[in-house]
Amino acid sequence: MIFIIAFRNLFKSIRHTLIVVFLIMVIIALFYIGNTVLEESNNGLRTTYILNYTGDIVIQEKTDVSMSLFGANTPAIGEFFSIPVLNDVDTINALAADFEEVETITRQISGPAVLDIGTQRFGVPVFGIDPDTYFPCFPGIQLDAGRFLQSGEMGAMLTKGRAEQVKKDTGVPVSVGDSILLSTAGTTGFKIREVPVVGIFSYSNAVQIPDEIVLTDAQTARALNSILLATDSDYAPPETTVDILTDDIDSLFMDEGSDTIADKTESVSLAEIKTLLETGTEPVTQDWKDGGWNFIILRLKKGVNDSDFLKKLNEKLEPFTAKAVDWRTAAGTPALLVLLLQYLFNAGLLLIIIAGIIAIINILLITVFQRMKEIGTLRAIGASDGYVRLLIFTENIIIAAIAGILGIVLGNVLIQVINGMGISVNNSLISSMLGHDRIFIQNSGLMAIASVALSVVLGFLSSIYPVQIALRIQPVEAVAKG
Amino acid sequence: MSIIQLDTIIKTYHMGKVEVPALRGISLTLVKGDFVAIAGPSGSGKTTILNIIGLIDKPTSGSIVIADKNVTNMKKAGLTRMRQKELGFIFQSFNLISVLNVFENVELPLIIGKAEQTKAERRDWVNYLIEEVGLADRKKHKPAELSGGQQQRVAIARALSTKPQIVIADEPTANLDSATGETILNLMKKINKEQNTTFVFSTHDPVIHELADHVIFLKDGNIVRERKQAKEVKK
Repeated sequence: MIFIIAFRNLFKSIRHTLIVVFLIMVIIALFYIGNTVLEESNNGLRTTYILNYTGDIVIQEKTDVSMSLFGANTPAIGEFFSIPVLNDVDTINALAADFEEVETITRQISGPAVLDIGTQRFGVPVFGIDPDTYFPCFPGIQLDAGRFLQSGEMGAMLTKGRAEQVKKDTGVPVSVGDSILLSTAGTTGFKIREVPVVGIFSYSNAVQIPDEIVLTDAQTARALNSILLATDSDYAPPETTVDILTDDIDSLFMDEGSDTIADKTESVSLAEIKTLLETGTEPVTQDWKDGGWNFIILRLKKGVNDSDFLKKLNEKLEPFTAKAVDWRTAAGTPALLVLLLQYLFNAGLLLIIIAGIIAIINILLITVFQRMKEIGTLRAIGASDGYVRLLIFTENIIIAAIAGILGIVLGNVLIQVINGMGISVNNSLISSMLGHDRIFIQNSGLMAIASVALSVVLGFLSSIYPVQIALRIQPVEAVAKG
Repeated sequence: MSIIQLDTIIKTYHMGKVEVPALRGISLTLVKGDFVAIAGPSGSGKTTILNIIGLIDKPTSGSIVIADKNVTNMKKAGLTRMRQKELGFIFQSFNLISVLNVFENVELPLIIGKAEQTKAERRDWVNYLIEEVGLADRKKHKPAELSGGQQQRVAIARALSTKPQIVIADEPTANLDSATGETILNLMKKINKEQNTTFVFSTHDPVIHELADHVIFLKDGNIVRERKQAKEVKK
């Protein structure tokens, strides 16, 4: 019966109903479109970053500031911040790999450097990688020329965007095999490394990824960032060398005519050198598998909830000086900017909602005042507080739910119109935010449900004060107005 | 057996700083099955006394006992329950719920009061009441589609739906022509006799109060005269 009364009352005071429906509908349409765009952008960014260079989870050393794969997330201190080396990297790597949720795992060294290529000079972020694990971890990386960096070799890979930029500026294309100079300056002096370009690559959905990234072997990146190197080879220095180290230091300067080099009168033939090189115990190339790393990057299996896993992993990391962060923190400013935009948009929307609620409350109050006789009559024939409360709430929540559904319909219509217009975006920041270089919004079922829920909450909040007023109506109003 | 007892009821309204006395110390006793008219000119306190008996208004002082319950200091929830179970209302301007049809209006107090009836029992009872007031062919009509007399019949059926011991009617015939008014009064009297329901109604029409068994004359908030006719009261 309450539903019948509530529903028919909506048609009875159709003008008020329509105004309230219109207000809620506009608010919900705004909420729906805005959050659909932001959610889509968020999902686009997420997929792109995860597939291209952040993975799902990044383990890094604990720091006082929020840190991405590029360094500090706060631009002001970025230049004065050096990314700390991860302690206990092997133990943590083994610990993380033991989780069944983890699909692939790789490590990375990061740091800024100056890139000299031809006559051009650029400031670039250098990612030192382990090629064996890095490329399987990031299927978003596509090779455009040359080949992928290989394990144990020194070399660099540039993005297609960077190569095109160089060609545009100098007229000379970047070719595989060209040498590039990477240099850094720090407290320990200047570091300069010359490495060959082994490949040119691009990121999938590149519009969202900075073109500056240079991928190099780990050894080069460590050298540039003054990180200790180590090898896992069986190399042991010859005994004579060790002897020198253990001898009394003064013996090195004793003038007893026993200088072995001065006494050496025999010549060395080319064949002897060749034999020495072939049979010698000193390795010609070293396998620089180990040494310092800044980050361990994890890709999770499909369907794993990354925030749950992050919590679980951080519990395990408690004894270490490391912590795990999500892809958004690891991606740095662009991804955080979208999050900030989302908060700003919803804060703005909150103001509109508050204004809307005030307008709706006024209309509902007028409706309650116009129905004093009806409510008084209900009280006189025995309606309790609960009955009157339920009646008014039911009416308003029905209005709100209908308005919410209409708001989603309106939002969808507007989305279709916007998509149909095929607006292209030239600004890279906006296209990064949208996740496309053309404005195309996809409907979101989850957001539609959230929008209807919001409309019901709106209806409920707007009804609280009018319900209080309705409960103050005395049964005598039934006759007072009669 | 008394069903309504008022003892020294005073009701004073405040119009800004001015106090307006409506009832000046009324005491009366009504017995079960009584058919009572409260008569008097405009402003004599008829509506005020009915509102107090009907528990939709509170006196400034004095005590009230209704159906053996002292309701003088009863709280809001208790008064609501009393109005649900013991009292029925018939208003001068009918006060039907405009969005409900005849059947639904009569059924409404049963639903509000959560009467312990099955849906079928409730439907049969409502249909019976509607037939009793002669509106069987108007069950699906909305109040706006009915004449004044028909609306008042619906109001009578609604007032009786919870089988109350007392029905209060504030000038039930004031908005009706004299012939229809008499029909309504006769209907009320018929129910009074058949179901032994106590009726208390107000009127300023001398023709109407002649039909009552018990007439209380009010003037300026006081009972000036009381007339009782000998009648058979069902026990």
